[in-house]
Amino acid sequence: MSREVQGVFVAVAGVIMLRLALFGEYLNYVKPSLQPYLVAASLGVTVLGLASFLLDAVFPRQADPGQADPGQAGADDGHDHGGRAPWSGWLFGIPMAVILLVPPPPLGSYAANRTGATVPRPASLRFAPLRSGGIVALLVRDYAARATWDQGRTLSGRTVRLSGFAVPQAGGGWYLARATLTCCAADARTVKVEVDGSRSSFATDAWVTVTGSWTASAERDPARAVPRIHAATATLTSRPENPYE
Amino acid sequence: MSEVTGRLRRPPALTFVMGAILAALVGPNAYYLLSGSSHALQTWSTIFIAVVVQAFPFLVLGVVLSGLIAAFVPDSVFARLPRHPAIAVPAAGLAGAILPGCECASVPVAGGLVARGVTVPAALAFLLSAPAINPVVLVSTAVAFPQVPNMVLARFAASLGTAVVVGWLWARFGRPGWLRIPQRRFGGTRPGTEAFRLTVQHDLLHAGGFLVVGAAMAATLNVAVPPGWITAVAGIPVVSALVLAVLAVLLAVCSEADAFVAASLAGFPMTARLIFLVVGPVVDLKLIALQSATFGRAFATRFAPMVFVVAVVAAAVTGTVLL
Repeated sequence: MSREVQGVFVAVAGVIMLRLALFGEYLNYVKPSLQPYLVAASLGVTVLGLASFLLDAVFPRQADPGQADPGQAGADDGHDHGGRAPWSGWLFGIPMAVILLVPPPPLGSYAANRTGATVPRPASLRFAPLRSGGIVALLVRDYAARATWDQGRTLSGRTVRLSGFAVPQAGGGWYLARATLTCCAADARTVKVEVDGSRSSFATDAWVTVTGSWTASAERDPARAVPRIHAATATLTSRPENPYE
Repeated sequence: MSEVTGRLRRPPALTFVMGAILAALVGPNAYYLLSGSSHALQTWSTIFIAVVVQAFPFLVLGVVLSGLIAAFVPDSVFARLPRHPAIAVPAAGLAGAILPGCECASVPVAGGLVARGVTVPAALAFLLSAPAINPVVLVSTAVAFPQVPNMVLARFAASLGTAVVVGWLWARFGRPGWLRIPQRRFGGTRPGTEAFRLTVQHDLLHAGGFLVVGAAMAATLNVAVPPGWITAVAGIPVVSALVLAVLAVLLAVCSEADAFVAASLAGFPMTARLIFLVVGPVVDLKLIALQSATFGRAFATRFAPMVFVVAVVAAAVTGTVLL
């Protein structure tokens, strides 16, 4: 990649990343806490690319200093003589083009079907009581942990609200699912809650809000139990800004 | 010379714009035609983009630090560093604790250090320890394993041990031809700011391209390996440890996140999970890609297997003693 192209290429990559970081689509891939770092990094890269575009392509100096450096040309391994960048730089254009033209959707039922519906043992088995009042909105993973590892103790007698996407089961019925990220979608874990008592059926990956109450799983062993909820209502909702929790 | 004729022959900005327009017209149609109903391909692209986006700020941090080292640190600083491996390697390993990033940042920095004359074994010890023993990673390990307080200590000891042993092995048995010494391309006679700009830009494009290769491989394995295979071996003593070691290489989870992944691997013994935590930051697919970018393919093909073996042994021993 020649010096003149590098500046434009780097600046365009910076702008694409900046746009991703500013307008929320980054939440389909990484956690909200990465946003400031993403903005800072892509701003820096954009400024770098613009500076290089101006200095190397628009107002290049007559004698290119890349060839004036004593001892540089001989020591070079040949592939980036005179400030050329290696061909591998072009590869970075692939993810940039994908982000710009065909941004992939957040993880959905395909990823959810790859994991079982059991809940891994949480770090602590002490569960704080739910907030008092009427309907309590819970994270799907929090509900799943309370439903299995706490045998529903903090849930019984309460009405809760969960939001996630629908994953139809092979033999009828469906799960409400939501993926949890630690860093990025590569380490996502999807939590599934079996929905009981809902006669409505939803398209795969449709976003649904379920209001309902805890109901015991068929299996008593929490390590093998599938969390369940008895739905009073199940309604279509729009996809939340952050599809993960 | 070829620069000048090249500029006259093909106006690069125009070529780029034309290419971008063409891609914009053809790209989405071809992509949707291919993916159609294929959720596997969509999941693949989500994970591919996620790895690139996640690594991007850390890669930028790494190339900026590497640029600062190339452009602004005077030669006298590097001349004063210890050169004997007996001191230089452990010192460099401990110095890894101050780089608050993941493996994507440490490779360009290590390349920059070698380009400025830091001995190769010391730079390699830094390369291996930085992603594993920095405060961010240790704190996330403590948060992920609240019932196992020794996990942080074990991770620190096994990772630092791996870094130092590999550094010493390289000092004793490494051959100069195995490693392409990164050149300090833009230092010397140029003003500091220009050397900085050119180094950062070169390293960003170079490492960025290889990061894409690593991300694509990690996404492929993430989608291709059925999770059932992994849980099936959880109870088998030695096999479970080796499976987690291989998994750490294949999944290429960022070192700041791997503790939570290890914590969720229910059913696996603690030592097997420690092996996952020690191997992941020092050998994984995107790291191998980044290392071949900086030090050459001949280096990566020798270095990765050696580090893998040392890391597995170090973690197994530490785990047996501490966990």
